[in-house]
Amino acid sequence: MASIEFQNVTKKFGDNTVISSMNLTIEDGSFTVLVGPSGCGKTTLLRMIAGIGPQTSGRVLVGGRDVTDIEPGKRGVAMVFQNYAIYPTMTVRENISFGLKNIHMPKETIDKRVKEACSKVGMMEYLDRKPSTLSGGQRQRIALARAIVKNPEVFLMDEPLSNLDAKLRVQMRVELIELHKKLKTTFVYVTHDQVEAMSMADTIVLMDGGRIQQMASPSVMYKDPDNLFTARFIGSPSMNIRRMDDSTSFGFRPEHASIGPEKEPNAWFTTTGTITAREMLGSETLYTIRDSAGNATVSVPEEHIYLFGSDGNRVRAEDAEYETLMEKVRQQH
Amino acid sequence: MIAPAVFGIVVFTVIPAIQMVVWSFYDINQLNPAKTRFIGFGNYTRIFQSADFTRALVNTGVYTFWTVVVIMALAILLAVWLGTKRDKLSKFTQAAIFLPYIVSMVSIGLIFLQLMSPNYGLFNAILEAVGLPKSQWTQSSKTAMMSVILVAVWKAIGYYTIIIGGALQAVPTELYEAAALDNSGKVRTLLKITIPIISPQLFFVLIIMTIGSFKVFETIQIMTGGGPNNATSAAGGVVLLIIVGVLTFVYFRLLSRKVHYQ
Amino acid sequence: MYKKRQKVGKLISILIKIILCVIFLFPFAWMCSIALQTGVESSRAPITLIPAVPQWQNFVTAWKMAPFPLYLRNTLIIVAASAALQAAVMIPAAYAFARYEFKGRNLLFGLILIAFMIPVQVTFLPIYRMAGKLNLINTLWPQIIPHMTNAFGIFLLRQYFMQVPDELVEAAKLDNASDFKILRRIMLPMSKPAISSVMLLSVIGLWNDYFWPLMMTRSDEVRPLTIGIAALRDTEGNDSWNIIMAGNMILVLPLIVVYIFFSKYIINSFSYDGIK
Repeated sequence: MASIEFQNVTKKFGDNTVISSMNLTIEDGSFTVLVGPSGCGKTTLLRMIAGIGPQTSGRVLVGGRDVTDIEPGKRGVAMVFQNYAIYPTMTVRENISFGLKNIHMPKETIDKRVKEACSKVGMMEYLDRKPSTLSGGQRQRIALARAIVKNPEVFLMDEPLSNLDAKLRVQMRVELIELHKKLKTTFVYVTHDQVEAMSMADTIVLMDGGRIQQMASPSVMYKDPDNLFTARFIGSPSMNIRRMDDSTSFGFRPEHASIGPEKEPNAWFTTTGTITAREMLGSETLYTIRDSAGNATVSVPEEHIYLFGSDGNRVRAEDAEYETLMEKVRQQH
Repeated sequence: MIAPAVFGIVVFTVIPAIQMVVWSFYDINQLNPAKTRFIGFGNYTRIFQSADFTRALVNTGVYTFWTVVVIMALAILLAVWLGTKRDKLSKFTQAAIFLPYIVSMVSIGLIFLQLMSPNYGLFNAILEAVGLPKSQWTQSSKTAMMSVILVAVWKAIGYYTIIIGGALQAVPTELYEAAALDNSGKVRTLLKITIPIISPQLFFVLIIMTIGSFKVFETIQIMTGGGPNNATSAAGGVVLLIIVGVLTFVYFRLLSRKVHYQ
Repeated sequence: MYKKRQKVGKLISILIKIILCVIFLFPFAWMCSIALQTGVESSRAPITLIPAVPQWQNFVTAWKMAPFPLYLRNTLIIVAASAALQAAVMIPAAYAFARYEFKGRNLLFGLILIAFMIPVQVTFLPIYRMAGKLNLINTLWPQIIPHMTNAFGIFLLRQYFMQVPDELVEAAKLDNASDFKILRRIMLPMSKPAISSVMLLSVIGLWNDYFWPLMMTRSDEVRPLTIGIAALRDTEGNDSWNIIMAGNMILVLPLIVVYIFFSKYIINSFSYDGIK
């Protein structure tokens, strides 16, 4: 078990600076998800922890120990890759034991640990198969077992579920949460899918353009976004945002708006429009409304309106601008 | 890790090639090295004035042109026609066409020399049987070039058919299906879809074939029984080198824009 | 109507395939036939298709014409030693070119590609002189060492190594595998088809090589089979085609036998040359 710390870390690819002097602490035993659009630097961070794409400057600490000059294999981390990186020419057993054999662990210990890891992911009967005979989900489990068998202090996962079909992905999500509970080690998980981040993380690190936009628990991320980027990125369907003339903006979550023929009595912001699409999802129904003249009135109460300044940062009740902006929202329609 | 490979290239290819360039400017006296002297382009003027050399040069050019054109055309046709078929006879035919490629030029030269023998060769026997005039084949300067090209095509075509066939297998079948739905005929599909897609491989084949063609010396050597020509001395070698270089450059300039890379 | 046309098309296609097989196989059958004919049969006007009585002793005659056991031994040594040397030089070089960033990498790789375009007809003379200075003319060394760098093989193998996903190498690094181990346990097993293709090409080329040994040797002691067979024609003259073809079969037969057993495999491995 170990915490991870980035101290003033910069990463350049040639002349291109991807991450500049970043500071970040990932807590020991947490399930931290690095999430953001592609190219935001999340995978770069992960690879710096593993040591397969070391930082240009700054320090990376694993369990309080500076790992900058330590080889990837000696950092006490294990990684699950996006395409699993299963060695195609080795059997399942050889794949899982490869890392242990390389550090010359006694054979009996290896056998014991391989069996343990395999039973944890439910792949015992496939030990002597070649990877090419396995399905995507099974390969995913082998990749997990290969990480588990090393008893790492940190688990790194790079979009490990992105190659699975929708149903299996949901199932594996639950299995990963359970695995984290069982192993109690630090999980660092990279994804571009905010649903994965929300469902699995205890801490989300939302990144964009090589910068951390917000780091918080899933519920804080959803209920109390720091800025426009977070507000837009987290939540599906995403927050409704409207720009006001001076490039400030406000937003509200779809579930907090009510739609009816008339304006609601407690409404702070109202607008009318036409319903152009209706998506029935079972427990909820999504309506798309184009705001022009129409017969549907959308009403949002004051407490569910989020304000954003012209710099994109959130304007909260304690900020000076709050009152004037709120007043402006009321004049919108 | 690359040191041995680089050593091999430098010592056994680069230095000798440079050596040849240097020698080509000297009049080398084997018996008395002290008499070896710098003569500038003397060797070059000498070989270009020699009828033997210019003839060899023209012959190599003619030979290269025809083998490249004929092999390219036939190999594309064969690959398109045979390469995608999976039945036993097609596979056997492919294997048969490839066989001459792995047999040495020495053996093939001997076999064809017999087949083309003017008096008791099989080819003339066949020509006679169907009532056509006999040919002198390699024995006459009129037909020697044709005979040599014939053998070269016969020997190498299987190899190029297979390379092009391998490239064809990478062409997604959806493209052919789409073309069929677009009412594209066989020839049109070949010209507009297949050939552009495999153009990188065709380009590669073209360069390999041209370079390979300059080893024609070997073929001629065994088939006409001539020894290494005096004209293929240092200066001749350098001329060969320059021609290969220029041709490759010209190919790149002319064709690289037409080559489609994914 | 449509069906009938299809049937005719199929028949024509079968016919063309059979004709192609005859064109490409018959010369080899012809070689066998002549090798078993008498000297008279092989050199008289109405040609003999099938020998009246197979003359098996032609092989003995041919075998005794020249020191063939010696030639065969030389060929085997040259092919085996050169191929082994090439593999030892080529594999690490291709791996380094594919996987490492180092100064001058592109320059050195370009050098190897350019060298690949320089025909041996240009380089043999200085190498022969070099061998002469080192007193190696009457040994097999000049026929082995200069083959050490297989430029085409390095090019092909590098391409293959580059196609191995980075993820695999990174996973192996996280598994504490050394460079050597990554090469041996991951790269090589994954590139088996490419390596066997390169080695097959190389072995066939070495077995068949005529020009290089001809230029590098001055005595029977160190000559390979190809030269011995080619020389049969000079010693026998044009009237003993039966003996020449019997000798020729000694050179061709091993390759044909290998080909009959592995033709599918050989063809598959050759198709890897058509790299993108």
